[in-house]
Amino acid sequence: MTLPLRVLSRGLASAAKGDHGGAGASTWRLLTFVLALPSVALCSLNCWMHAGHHERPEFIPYHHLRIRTKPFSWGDGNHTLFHNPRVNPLPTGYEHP
Amino acid sequence: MLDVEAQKPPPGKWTTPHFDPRFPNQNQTRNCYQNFLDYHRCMKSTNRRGKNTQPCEYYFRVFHSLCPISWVQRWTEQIKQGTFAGKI
Repeated sequence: MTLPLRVLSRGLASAAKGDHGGAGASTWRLLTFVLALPSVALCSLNCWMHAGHHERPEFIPYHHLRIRTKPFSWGDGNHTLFHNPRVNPLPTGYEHP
Repeated sequence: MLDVEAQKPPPGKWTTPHFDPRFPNQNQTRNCYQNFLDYHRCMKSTNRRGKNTQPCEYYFRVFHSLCPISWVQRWTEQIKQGTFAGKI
């Protein structure tokens, strides 16, 4: 079981930059600011570009969705915990047209 | 019911579905569902092209042998209401 671990740890450390001089703190600080944080920024930018109201799908009362065998323990028992009235339909349909 | 003729099976050759190598194990659920889908797809495509739907009878016979009647009733009801989840 040790062989896969060794291979994996080599892959993790060498995949990023090919730095073989040991995992010092300055290395990881550099990687954080040069690689990790810009990646987070790029992914956030991607999310913002794709945000905004999307066209919501038409409602079809499929039997395998929106199942209510027992009412929820909160509210009126029919709304999920993070119910969004614009995009989440109830078992009978969307709330507002 | 005392009539001997009434107790015989209806005339004609009746066989149960043959072994289907796509479904070799004990759980034949997918076999039933697949034949149900195939029958409806066959009917839809032959009706669209105006062809004879007689070849679709094979699928009909198979799923009528394999499927529980309640499933068939539930699915045909869903197809009528437009809530059937399969692709036909």
